[in-house]
Amino acid sequence: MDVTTILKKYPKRRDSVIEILHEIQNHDPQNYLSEESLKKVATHINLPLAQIYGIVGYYSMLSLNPRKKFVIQVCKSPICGMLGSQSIYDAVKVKISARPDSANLFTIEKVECLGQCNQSPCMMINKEIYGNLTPQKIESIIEEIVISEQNAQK
Amino acid sequence: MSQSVKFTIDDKQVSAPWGSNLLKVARENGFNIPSLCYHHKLSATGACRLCLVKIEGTRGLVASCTVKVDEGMIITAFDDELEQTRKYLLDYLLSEHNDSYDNTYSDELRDLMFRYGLNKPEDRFFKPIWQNLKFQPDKSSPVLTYDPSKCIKCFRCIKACDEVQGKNVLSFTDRGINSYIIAGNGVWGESECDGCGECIQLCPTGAIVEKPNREVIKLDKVARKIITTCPYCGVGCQIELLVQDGKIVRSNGVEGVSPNDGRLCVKGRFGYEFVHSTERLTKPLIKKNGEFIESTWDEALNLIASKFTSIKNEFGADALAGYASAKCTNEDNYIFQKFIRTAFGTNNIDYCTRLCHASTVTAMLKSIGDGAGSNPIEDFETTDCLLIIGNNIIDTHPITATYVKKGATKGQKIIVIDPKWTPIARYASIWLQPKLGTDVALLNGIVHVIITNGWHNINFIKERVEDGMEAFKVLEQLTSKYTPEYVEKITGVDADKIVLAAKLYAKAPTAMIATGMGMSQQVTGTNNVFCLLNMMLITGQVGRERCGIDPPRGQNNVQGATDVGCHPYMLSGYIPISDEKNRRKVADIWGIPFESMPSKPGLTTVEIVKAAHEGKVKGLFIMGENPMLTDPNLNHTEEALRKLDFLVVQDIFHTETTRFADVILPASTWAEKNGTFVNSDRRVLMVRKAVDCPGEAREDWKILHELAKRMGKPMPNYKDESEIFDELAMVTPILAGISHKRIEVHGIQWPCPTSDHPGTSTLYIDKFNTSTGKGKLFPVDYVEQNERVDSEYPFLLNSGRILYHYHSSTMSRKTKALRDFINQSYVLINPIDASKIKVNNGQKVVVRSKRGQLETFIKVSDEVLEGELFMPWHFSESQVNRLTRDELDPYSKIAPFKLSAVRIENPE
Repeated sequence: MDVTTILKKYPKRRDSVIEILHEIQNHDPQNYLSEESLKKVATHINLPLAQIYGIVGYYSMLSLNPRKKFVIQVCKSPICGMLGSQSIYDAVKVKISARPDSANLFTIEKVECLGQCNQSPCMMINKEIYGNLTPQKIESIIEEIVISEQNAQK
Repeated sequence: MSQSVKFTIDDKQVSAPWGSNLLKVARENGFNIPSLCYHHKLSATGACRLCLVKIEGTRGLVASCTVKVDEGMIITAFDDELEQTRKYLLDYLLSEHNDSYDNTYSDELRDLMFRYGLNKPEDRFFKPIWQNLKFQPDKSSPVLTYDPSKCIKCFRCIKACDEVQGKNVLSFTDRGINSYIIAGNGVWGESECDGCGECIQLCPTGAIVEKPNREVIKLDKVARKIITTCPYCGVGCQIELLVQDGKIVRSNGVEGVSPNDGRLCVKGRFGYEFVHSTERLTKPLIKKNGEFIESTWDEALNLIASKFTSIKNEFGADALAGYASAKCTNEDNYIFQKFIRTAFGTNNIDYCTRLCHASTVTAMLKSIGDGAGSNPIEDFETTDCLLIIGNNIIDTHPITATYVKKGATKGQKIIVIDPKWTPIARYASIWLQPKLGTDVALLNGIVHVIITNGWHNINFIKERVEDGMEAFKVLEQLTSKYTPEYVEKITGVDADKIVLAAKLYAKAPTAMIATGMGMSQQVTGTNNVFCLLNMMLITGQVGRERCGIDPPRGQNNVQGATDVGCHPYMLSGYIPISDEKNRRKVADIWGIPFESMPSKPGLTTVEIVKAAHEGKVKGLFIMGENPMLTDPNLNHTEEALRKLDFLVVQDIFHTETTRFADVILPASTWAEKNGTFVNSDRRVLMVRKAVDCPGEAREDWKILHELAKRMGKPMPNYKDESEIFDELAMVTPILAGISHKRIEVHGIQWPCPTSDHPGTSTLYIDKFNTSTGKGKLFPVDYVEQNERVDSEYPFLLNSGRILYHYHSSTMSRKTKALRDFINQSYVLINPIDASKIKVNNGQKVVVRSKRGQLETFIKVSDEVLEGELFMPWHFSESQVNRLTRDELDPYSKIAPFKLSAVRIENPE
């Protein structure tokens, strides 16, 4: 669905901005919000472009940069941080660089609290939450996605 | 006015209107509570927390900027706990702030740092953390830089952009300690920012600073700060010029004074550079063998005096003429018209008003008796409905537009009528886009809708319109055929929109009209305005506050120059030449024999050019005008100027016109003289000298004064400009009560007949200024334009102005900041037409009419309708008036700059 079609579904009200941005991003093949899209949203809602840009800059689930099919979001909140989120982040990086054939599958980001403090440290891949992580678990989670993707290609 | 309430601050009894801002009231009463995010023009933010106070009965400490005062409040503004807390908070703010300071801007945070003894980092509790943040300064704008390391996120800039200027360009992004201010899509120079600099003026920490003169200015070396009036458009903004080493280095808006309350546009803030241009004229120049040779003042003045005298002796006084200047002060213009009427002995005096609002003024004088705007500028915000017609108000009167935009956010209904999209359309409730030249039909259609729906005001018509219902019946009869459907066929505007516009205007509790060049610069200019006035009179949307009609004036002193008599048919104060009693009075005050006062009405600008072409006018004195760019049908103007026996041009620069002069006299800019301007809402405002004239250049009136003496018609030896104003006030009843002394701080709106009169903010409250005191209806029919498209010239060309440049751009293009925004001519063309004739964005083309041609660049845009084009006329290398006609409006003699049939040729 292109941006114009999505915009037609929503009322020209500022309280629909977040929903609109989500839907545009979800329909974007590169999973992000382009400058062109932001301008169209600003015109549709009649809000300043800077405000739309500011909203995207504020929320870590919205991206101004093109992303791969799987977006790995590692939580950087204090609880996850105390329980080792940096080592999780590093493990993800190591694992991905160890599988060069998967480089086009993943984008890694650090994000604000995912609200899963009961299972810290945690991360989210697209819409799925992974909790109580250890570097070993990362190994198998990534491996599983890569293999299922390779199977799907066959 | 709200009811007054009493309360105490630190045991002092204070009273203020209920609901006033506590911080503001406290400061006004001498309690200097610190604050960084509060500004009187903005809504309260409560971000910096420094203005904390204690209020008895309220828990904790409260940010006083967010409190409204109430009866019986007991407030503590200063005690040890508050001061300790403030110091602690300030300490915290400073940790995020880069302290380096280069003395080029005023820094409120720095002042507080000293006040609380936190200037040394070792005295602070919090360690600096700003170095660890990943901020990059944004230097992409032509006029400012933003340094996030100095920003404390008080949001004054964002609110300045939103609430004060209504532009909504700024916001902030990222979060927490990493958040920072952004413009548009994150890059200032690529955003919609138009460089007004309101954010610079309100930034308390130097995060946003001016680019121009940043390397030069040192605040401790600024010798003078002069408050004066902006030299660009007719809003009359009050500016403060900072002078260092004899040069203007900065211009700030003056807070708390009408009409602008500190607001400026990009021209007012940055457009002063031309004053110190190396291209300024600094010596008199005499043309000898086709070349301009520097001369002494004596030689030049003697030559001028003898030439004009011999023309007068040989061909009579009416073979001489003068163009006054809307850029000069009232004092200059008053002396100029006195010079033309006494030394020349003719009424052949006119100026550029003939090219802009002559039709508006003609219609308004006939219908309601005054040619000036009826309302104060503040009413643009508070009226319920504003009709903006043929008026690109955001580009041409940016500060008036800030009032309109504020009104829009409060629910004001805005009707925009314009064949071309203009930025104000974004704020409009409804935008009507008629085809060029069909305004009379459209307005008659609106009047028809008003009458058939009974939305007219019968009481008003009976009481205040001449011949009451009889006159109304004539209008009703004439407009009866202008049904919305019929009008739709002529104008292309949807019938529904016509009905809605009529309803919005007629049924609003109060409604104002802002009319502009789009209405006046047509062959039917006067008729267009008659239609507007008819509509206004039958609905009674005049004669009350926040109702009326306002033509915002293009030039800084276009209002004043006519007020003081630079008019071929009228003496100072709009008194017709034919009024013998007044002629006698003026002759008496000027100390000349009554018989020598010229009694025959003179020629208007375009008529002067025609007479020159026919050899009837042989000598012309032009003060600060550039007809070789501003007059219609320039090829004809050029021939006329060549035919003159003697042409004197008094100006600050060489212009397209000075080429044809026999003598060029170096004059002064507004920053080099004292005097007054009158702005669009009839406010007389002070102009003050900030710097000296360059080289041998002189103040305009002094040149004329000297010349009058050499032509044997000496004027009194005025001590200074205030004495000239006093004489001017004697012959100008509407200004009689005003003197320089009275307008030292605040301007006064005329009419102001006596020295104890407060001035008049709204005109026509009790009566109209016509002979009967009543308004007159002038029903007029729609006539198709003579100039039409055909297969040879298939487009209609419209012309106008843009924000960054000013008229013939003699001043604005000498300023780098303004050139950086735009410095190239263009022609707007609808995308459908562009693909039809196969032209692309940026392509160089020739635009040709029956009168002439020019080269320019294509800009494809749906701002114009199919079949129509638009060009700004500021660019001398693409002179739009080579294409326009000099077929005049029969009533006002204005030329139709807005409509010319042209074609586009591809030179490649």
